[in-house]
Amino acid sequence: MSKIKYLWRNKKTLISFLTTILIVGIFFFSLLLLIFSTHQYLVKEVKENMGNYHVKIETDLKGIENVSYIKKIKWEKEVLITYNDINKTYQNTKKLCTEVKCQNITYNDSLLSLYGVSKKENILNIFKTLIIVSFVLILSFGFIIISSSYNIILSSKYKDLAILKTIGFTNKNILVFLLIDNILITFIALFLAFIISLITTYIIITLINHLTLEVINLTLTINFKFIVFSILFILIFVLGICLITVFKLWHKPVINNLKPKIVYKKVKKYKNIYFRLAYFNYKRNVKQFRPVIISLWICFILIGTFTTYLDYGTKIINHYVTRPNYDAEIISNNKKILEDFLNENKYQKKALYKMCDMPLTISKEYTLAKKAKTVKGVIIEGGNTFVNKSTVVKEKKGKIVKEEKSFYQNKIKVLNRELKADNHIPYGLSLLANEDNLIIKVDNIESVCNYNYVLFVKSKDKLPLDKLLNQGNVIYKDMRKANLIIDNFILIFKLLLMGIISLITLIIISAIISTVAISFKVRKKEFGILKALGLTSFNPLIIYESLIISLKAFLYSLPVVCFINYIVVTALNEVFEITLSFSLKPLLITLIVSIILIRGVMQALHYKIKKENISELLK
Amino acid sequence: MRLLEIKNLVKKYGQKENEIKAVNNVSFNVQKGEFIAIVGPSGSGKSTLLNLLAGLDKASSGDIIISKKNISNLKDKEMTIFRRNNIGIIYQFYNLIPALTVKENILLPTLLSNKKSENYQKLVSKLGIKAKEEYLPNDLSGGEQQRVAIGRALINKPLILLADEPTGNLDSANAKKIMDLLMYYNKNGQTIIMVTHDLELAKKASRVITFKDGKIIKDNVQN
Repeated sequence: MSKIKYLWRNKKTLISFLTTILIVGIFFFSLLLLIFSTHQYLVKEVKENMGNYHVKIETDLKGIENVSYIKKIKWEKEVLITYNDINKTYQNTKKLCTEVKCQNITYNDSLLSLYGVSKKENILNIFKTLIIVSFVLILSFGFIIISSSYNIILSSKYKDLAILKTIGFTNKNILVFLLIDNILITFIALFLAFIISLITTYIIITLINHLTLEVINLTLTINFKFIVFSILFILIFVLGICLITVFKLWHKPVINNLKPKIVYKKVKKYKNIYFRLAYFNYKRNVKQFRPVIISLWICFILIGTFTTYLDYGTKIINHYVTRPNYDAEIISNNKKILEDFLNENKYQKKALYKMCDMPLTISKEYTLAKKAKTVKGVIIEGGNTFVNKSTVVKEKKGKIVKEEKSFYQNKIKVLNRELKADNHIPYGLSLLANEDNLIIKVDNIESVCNYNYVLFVKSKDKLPLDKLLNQGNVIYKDMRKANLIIDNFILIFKLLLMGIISLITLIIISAIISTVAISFKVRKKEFGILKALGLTSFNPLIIYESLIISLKAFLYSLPVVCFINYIVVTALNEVFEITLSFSLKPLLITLIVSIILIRGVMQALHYKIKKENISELLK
Repeated sequence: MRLLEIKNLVKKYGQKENEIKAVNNVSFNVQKGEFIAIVGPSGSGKSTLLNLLAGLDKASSGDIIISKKNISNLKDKEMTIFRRNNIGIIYQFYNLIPALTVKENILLPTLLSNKKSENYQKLVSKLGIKAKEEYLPNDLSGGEQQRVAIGRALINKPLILLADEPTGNLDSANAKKIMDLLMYYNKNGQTIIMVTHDLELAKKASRVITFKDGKIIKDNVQN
């Protein structure tokens, strides 16, 4: 009971440490849960689309049902095998094939990649690299913040602990004292963090599912083994810090902690007195400012990294995904319905075609590949031309490439007419300009096929498409939704990024406030002296200090951000066509915000000191 | 020439029943070139009076007129600038800026007021700290630190030098050195008001004001 009373008397310290671990814990657990949930979703999708097996073998495997390492066998045209341990897929397959004859071994690379087992390069391998990079960063960030907060708190406890030693506490007593204190707080904070992170992750997952209109359907997944391991890991980390603290006390004479002697080093002289004082103060209190600088440094790195992800993610989506350039496609055999619809509303763009489609075979003399090609002919009225430009997204040597290709000569003969190549894609038909279709314009479409009227429209306003259904003989496709899903993918990235940045900012703010507050407490007397000597304004001093701290963190983070950028683009380049790009803008914005933030905190603290009597400050 | 006038100066702490008058209706004048020692028991209000004279604290009522300027009603910024240019202060615990060297500590007031330090060399020679110009305060003894503090207080040639227990933290040998320095500067025209509990040191001043319970109980001019 007295232990709890003691903790409660030191409320500020208790709440400060608890809050730091809580925020870091929420951040950490939320990310873990999100990763597990995404992983589970991807595994489910891969199993549904690519098959629920580890390896597929063409074989006559009699008697293999009793093999201990095989979980499941499905007999189809080939044998589909699922092993007990997916990580041993390659070894087990090799082992199996020494016992029986195997032919055409095909691994389910997509599924194996999700478990980091696949030997083949594919997009899911990037997932692993990105997750590892992000995880390492966030884990380091979390640990440094916890350790820094703890050091700040401990620095105020050194004297108390030294006093305990003078009255007879042994090192062992002090260790137990610290352990109970900190393990208790850590455990409570982590438990609360886990509960809160369940709620926040649930909200994030619901948001993602909603924004993607259930195209992505995540469910909250908890991997208890991992969670328990993480909690233990953090507890062991805190235990380690306690041990280091006691060790620091052990090997120094008690008097050094009772009356700590601060050693000042000489520093370079600068002409501007305010800058000199600011720089001297920073150099003198390097250890104290270190948590702020490290927090800011990691903040810059995380923001630089996540904006890199967002940047490249957006580029990939915009590059590979062909978006419809219209909001609705309306098809009817009644031209008047479409003309009335056009008259009733305002449009940014519109196009009305007589259109039909039919299978067409282009003979080999007209194809570039010198092979006859059968495609779906998309026929509209107007001229005798065809679109000789197709957008092709395909895998080439393990990489996904998007290219514009021509499959035909400049003139082709089809539908008993000669058509000239024209690379202009009529409005609304860009999605059809691929290798499976051929867009053709013909005169007298009536002689070619039974056509319908097709209207493509784009409008700022909401289109009254539902009204059309009442008129009969009308079908429509609302492409706005499709565009919305793509936009929302990008929005999800941005929201997640903003969420991460908000959490990081919270942690940074708490680190800044506690560090700067302690620094100011120690410097009260110095402020009093300067005031007594005639210093009228502390603003320049504060501005310089905030600049020094922020700029240092910024400059130290630049090479790391560049390096991470390079790793990310190298990983992505294995699968996508992506060029290295680096934007300083997010980092510069963060730099400005950090300067303002630190200055704001210092200004607020200084305002508090300013109200005090100079003679009190000097005592 | 009357340099300092104090009229009905009062400083109260606390409220109503708990009110304490640390300085209780004090009035006296100081001529240019005087060396005044203010003595009295602990808690008599000597240091409070000094803080009021330096503008480090605000009086509850009364006037402090230095060189015909009433500083009682000056705003914080005006008082700070006035103090920078006209008042030098020495403290019992030196109050040097630990991150600045000896030279920088002494020159700090000139840097703040953007003035050239014409008497720096002469000061450091007299104070005997020329060889330790580039040292940090932590590397100096108590006596040396107090000499640096005196240098800092005198660099701007203030109208008044206020010293709050300047020898309180020093051994007798160093205390004597400090007193000798103060007397030297006083002989050269510096007006000094010193608070001390050491009656032996007080005897060296030209005038001794005895304080008790916030009031002047004796004001002796000495030879």
